[in-house]
Amino acid sequence: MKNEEKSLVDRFIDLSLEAFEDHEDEFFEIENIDKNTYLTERLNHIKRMRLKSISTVKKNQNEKQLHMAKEQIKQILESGDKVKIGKLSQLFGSNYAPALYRNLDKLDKHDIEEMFHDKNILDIIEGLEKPDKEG
Amino acid sequence: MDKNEQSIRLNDVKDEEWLKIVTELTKWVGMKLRFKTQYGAHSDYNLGGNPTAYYVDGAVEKLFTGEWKWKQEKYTLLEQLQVIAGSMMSENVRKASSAKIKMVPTETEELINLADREDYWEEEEEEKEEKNRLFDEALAACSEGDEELSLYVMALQASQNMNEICTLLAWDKRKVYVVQRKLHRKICNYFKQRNE
Repeated sequence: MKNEEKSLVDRFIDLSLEAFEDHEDEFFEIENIDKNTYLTERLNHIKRMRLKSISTVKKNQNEKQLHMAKEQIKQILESGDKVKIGKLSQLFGSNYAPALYRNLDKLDKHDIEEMFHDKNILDIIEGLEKPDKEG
Repeated sequence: MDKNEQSIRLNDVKDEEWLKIVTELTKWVGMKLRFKTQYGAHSDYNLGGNPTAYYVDGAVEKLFTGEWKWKQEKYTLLEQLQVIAGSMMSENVRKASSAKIKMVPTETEELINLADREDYWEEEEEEKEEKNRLFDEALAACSEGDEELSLYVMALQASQNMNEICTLLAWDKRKVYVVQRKLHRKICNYFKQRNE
């Protein structure tokens, strides 16, 4: 908003913001707020928000990677390429080989998560990409 | 920028930067609240705690959770938080106004209410006028008997920005800052007493 369109109150606030730029302590004193306690509390709130956000980002990235890996596995199984399917069994170990041969769509999110349990999804995705490059 | 990208960008902001942003946001929110006519909507009682902290934390939270999108091409982080906090304040005034309307139970009163409700959207303009009127009163009361402040208030009313005030009064910025802070303090006290 242009200054000419601003009310006197808003122009006064703009002037005060400028006048208090290097006088934060005076502002907090006028507002009767303990500056250090107040800012520590705000920063702690931001840190809590940040932790929640990091956890959500990780969860979303993990779900995206799981989806990518699942799609790649599906493509390999549908291709019927024995070399690639063999590679798949190698990556997951024999315990999960039977599950892989069933229709992957029948496996729910928890089954997939169980298959990927204590495995690095990124390594698996890279591993699955290798046969394509070799082929 | 999707929610994830927004979170990643926010997570990258360092604590020192947050501290500066929160300090500036606090000043902005504090000043906006101080000169509100409907202070009841923003009272400690209504918001369940310090009103300034309520709006600062709320704006930060709405950005982190992705409830509000950070329009990076348009706003800095501070500006975006000001937009969110400003919107929250307006929303609370609206809620407080409609709560008053809903409290009326009888049929006759309900009819009066409907009339009020129809005028409701024009009320914001009315509130602005009321706010300006009260602010003029505050300026007059706080500068009364103080020659320097009276002169400053006249310049304030006749100018659009800091440079114009400096030219009009032939003062340097430092002097204007000192007088502005003095007047700000007096006006805050005036409104504090008025709102108590």
